[in-house]
Amino acid sequence: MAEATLLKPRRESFWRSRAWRRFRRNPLAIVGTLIVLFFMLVAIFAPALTADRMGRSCLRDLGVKRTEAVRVLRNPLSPKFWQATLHPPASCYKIPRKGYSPIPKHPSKKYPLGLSGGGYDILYGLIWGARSAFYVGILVIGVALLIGILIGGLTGYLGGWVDHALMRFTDAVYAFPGLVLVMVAVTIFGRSLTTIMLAIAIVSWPTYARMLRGNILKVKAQDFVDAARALGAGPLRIFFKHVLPNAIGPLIILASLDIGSIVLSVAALSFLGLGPEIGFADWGQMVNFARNWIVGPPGEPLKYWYTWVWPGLAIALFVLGWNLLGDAVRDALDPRS
Amino acid sequence: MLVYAIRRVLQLPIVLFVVSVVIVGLLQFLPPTARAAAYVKSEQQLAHIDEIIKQYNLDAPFYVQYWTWLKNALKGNLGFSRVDKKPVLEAIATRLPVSAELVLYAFLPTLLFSIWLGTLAAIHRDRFLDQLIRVLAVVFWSLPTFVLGIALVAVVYGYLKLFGIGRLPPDLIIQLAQQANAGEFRYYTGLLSLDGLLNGRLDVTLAALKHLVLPTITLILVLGAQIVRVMRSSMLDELGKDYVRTARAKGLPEKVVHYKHARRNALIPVITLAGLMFAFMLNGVVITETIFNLPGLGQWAAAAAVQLDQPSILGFALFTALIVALANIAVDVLYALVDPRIRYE
Amino acid sequence: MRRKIGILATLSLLLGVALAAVPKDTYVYMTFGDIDTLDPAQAYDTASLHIIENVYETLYTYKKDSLTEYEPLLATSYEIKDGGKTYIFHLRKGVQFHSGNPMTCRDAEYSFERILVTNPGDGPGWFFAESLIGYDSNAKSALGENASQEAYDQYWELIDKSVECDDLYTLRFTLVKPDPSFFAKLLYAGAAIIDSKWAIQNGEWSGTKKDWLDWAGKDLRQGFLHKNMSGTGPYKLVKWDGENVVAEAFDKYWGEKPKIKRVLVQIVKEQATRLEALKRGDADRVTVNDWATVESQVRGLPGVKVWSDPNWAPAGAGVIFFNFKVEGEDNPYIGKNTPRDLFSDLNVRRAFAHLVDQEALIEEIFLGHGVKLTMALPPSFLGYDPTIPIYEFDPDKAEAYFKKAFGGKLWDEGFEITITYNQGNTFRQTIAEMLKANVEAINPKFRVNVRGLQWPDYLRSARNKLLPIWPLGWIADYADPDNFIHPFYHSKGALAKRQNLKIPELDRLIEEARATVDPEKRAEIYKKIGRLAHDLAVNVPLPSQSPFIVTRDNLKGVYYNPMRSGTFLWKDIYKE
Repeated sequence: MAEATLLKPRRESFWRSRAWRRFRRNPLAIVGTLIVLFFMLVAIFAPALTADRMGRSCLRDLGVKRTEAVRVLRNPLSPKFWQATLHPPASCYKIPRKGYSPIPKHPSKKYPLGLSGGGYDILYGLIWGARSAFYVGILVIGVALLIGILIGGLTGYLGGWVDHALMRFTDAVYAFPGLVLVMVAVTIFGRSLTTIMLAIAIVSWPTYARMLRGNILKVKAQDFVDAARALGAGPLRIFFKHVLPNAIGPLIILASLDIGSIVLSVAALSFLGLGPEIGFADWGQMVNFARNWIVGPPGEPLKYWYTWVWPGLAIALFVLGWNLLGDAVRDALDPRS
Repeated sequence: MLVYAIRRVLQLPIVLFVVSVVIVGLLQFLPPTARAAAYVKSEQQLAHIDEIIKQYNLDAPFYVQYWTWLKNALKGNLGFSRVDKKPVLEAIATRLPVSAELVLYAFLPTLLFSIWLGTLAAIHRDRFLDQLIRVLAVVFWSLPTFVLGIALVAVVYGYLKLFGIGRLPPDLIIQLAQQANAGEFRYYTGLLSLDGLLNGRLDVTLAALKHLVLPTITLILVLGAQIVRVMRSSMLDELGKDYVRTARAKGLPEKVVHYKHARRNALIPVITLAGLMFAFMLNGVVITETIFNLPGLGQWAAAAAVQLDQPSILGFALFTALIVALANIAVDVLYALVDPRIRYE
Repeated sequence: MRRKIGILATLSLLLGVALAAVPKDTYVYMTFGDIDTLDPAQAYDTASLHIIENVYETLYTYKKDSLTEYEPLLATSYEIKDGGKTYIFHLRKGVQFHSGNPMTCRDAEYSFERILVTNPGDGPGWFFAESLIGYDSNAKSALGENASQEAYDQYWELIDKSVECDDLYTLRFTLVKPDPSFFAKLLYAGAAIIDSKWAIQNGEWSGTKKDWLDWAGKDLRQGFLHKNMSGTGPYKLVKWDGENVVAEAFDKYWGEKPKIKRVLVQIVKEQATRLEALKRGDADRVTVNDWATVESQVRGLPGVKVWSDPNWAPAGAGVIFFNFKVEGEDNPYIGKNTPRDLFSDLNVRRAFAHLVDQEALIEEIFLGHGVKLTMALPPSFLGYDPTIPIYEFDPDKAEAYFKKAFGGKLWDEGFEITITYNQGNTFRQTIAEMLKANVEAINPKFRVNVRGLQWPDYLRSARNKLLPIWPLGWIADYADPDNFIHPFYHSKGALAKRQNLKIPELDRLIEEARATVDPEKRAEIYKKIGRLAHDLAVNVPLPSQSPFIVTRDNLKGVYYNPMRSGTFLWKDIYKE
């Protein structure tokens, strides 16, 4: 006897699981998935998509001449293609400018989405903005999860006074006016994307820590844990083999669905003048920069609509996609409906 | 229960201490010349930056600076706000009523509005109404607040010529300033809508309300969007619970099931949210106050952080930490009152 | 029925439909600049001085929009004696302060001594102090906190003797040496006569030797005069509460009573909001960010007028600075293999000068409303020489100069530098990016990065002389060329210091100009300075944007005086 395997539920194959079937049947879930997939593709293939409108610095840093840019960057056989796709230089995130006029220019053949105030190519900004949206989202959630799991796991495992102390610490960070901390950190350490990401991550982890702790407590109270203990499994084994996997799973899934909303925090920072600098390919930055052009001249109030509608739409769709995906995943995993 | 609450309240000073140390500590990462940013605003002043550093003791070590600040803070002097050009406590006292008034008028409508929509969405789950509400919620949530705000200013205030910006129209501002000087108008609370009534000036109250319409709508839309989603998912949780199935099995009409049972229990996470709405509000408030020109705490925080005005940042951070911590305590207490299964030791 | 009407009435009151715009005797100005302080001895920014110039008055002032014609204000006449070392002003009689106290010489003496005594580091006192007592900082900064009693007493003696009252209405200034810019300095809005009795009563400096040292270098923002004003001007302050300044006409004003009786200055940060208020008529004048907005959103608005004139020129100048010797060990703004004295070579400077496309800047950014500058001096100032050539945009010439630089080595080895600008300033950002594009196009070995610095970073880097090249501007304190020439071209000048600029011939000329009293002779010297600066390409002057004023079209009497913080005085305007 004594084998815990007797109590392990038989794992259903994923493709035949109830969760997947529920997910598949939900039309909004499909829509959400498609949207996120779309942005993912745009982000991944950003260099190839914008090869014909890349800025001089980006080309220079990639070592590609303008005349061969389209040919090289759209050719999966070329090493430059992979370099650009996997690890593009920072200068590629700067939106190229056509002229310097502060007045936006209407969409044209060469610039199908128009030029924002300052001559910034909106199409380029939108495409590379998808990249930075993922980049920032993933990094922020990643770091926040790491810290949150560490702390939440410790409290869940050790319990007692450690639990108390860490929870009070978590509360303190939670109570901390996060926006202020982010603002101060960015003002001090600079408006680089790294600082912004770290700052947002540092104020976001308490939610995950608490969630993990809550999950751990719930799982610990379940029958199969008692059974494992009755069969003689040690506390460490119980924790890492039974409790943690069941507790972390939902946490990671739910956390990853927050990726879509990080883009909003960065947009808020841009409004305060603390976001990435003007000209950086970030949707929030682009909308913020367009804010003096939301209202146009008398008689043509929406004359410069393209400066804020495109990036605004990108943000809205991105967040919507993640949201629909998130809700659908949550619903699918829900054993009670 | 009472003991628990008191214990939590007594732990507040620790939170405040940590907050203050962190901020002062963070600011030390900057060299004195950079920290002088709060005091040097122009090229001309930059020429004298060394004097300024000495004058404000910006090159003293961390613990000296913190200790000086702490000594003063315990005496009730939170320093001088460079952003507002007045003592920090005075700045808070002046700005708090402005934000409070806005939040007050936005809070209840937001809560009620989102509870209603969230419930609606949950009840009609996966049908058209639910999908519509969810999509709209996301759109309003993801719309950068300032776009909504500016659109409202342009369309409603500019084009339709309704309502107003700032707290009062220009001639009332002038009139009240003159009358306040002469002692004919007293600012009892700082909440203009209330002070108008207390002074017997209905026109002031009406004007204040008129000017609050647009910012309140903005806040309601942006905050409500977030809360609708939470209400919906918590309502869904409840509707899936056993007792609901039992009630249905008993033959109780759907309406009773929804409103009498499920909704009451779905309120628990809403209490959390209501308590946390203060924290959420901060983002929305900062932007709303800037666009509609309301001199509240949000606007102050934004300016202070960007200009590295240490006393103001500290004052604001401590104040908010206090409020959020108190709100958390209130929330936990409310939980215990609402859900008899929750017990604290 | 009655309930319905009641609701309707309330509704319409609430909706405020058909509410009149601002009344005719009221002037509402919405701007975005924060007011720092209302104390004339501390204020050093446009927003604060705008209020001060309307509530307080100086001895003499500019006549309407002229920079060269003056009219007596609180003084009726003056004489200069001792070759420019003594100035005697005869004060106007029968002038009352807002508090009711009569103005006498004692108030004038107090006002100027107060400026010299307090002279906070971030205030304007330095340029009075340098003329009147020979120090430019206050006693505690100049002598240290622990100087001897004797040293302090000596300092006090200097202050005391520099400003005296010969009698109740005669004010005498004694300078340490002749200063041809002194009269212009007295026109600075902060050189105002304040109500000494009222100030002393309310806790300000007693005006005597007793407590002067306590006030040396004090931050006046915590004092009484920070938000209370008692001046002689046509308007008195009603209230300043952070974002609103309310003022009303002073009924006992000594001069012509203004037509505008009530003034509201409001800080509104968001431009979109300001413009909507202007359209609605809730504001009579608003600040608009730039010509781009004016041309695309403001022109043609019903009820709105855009005032501008190609002859208007701002009292400011901007240049691109070159750092002759970049300092700092771990300097991120210059490449490791790039010579720190890159810009000490005249060829390099000339090359860069030829790569600044002044025409493009004016056309694209200022939409044609701009003027090129020949030197770092506003065109309307004494000594400006419009005939000095300007480096034209010429990539070929630039290439030729680069090839000659450092004996030809630079062309082969290349360099890497970072042009910095303060974040948020799109004009400077554009200049930086334009220069980057033009320089890099010449030789791939020339790498130019562009970086936006936040204000704290900028302060630190500028003071430590880390920046190799950066655009910057300066607005006049007083209408005298020395206010520009010294900071920009003298080796000890506030701005030139950061460039490690040291050209003895320039220093000599500047000091000579300072000592020359005859304006024509001075002008000649300044022209020489401008020409020398051009030949040596010490810096690259940038074009100036033509100013504009945006108001409702029923506002009359508007004019543009670049030395006025508010471009015109409230007492000169009226509404139809």
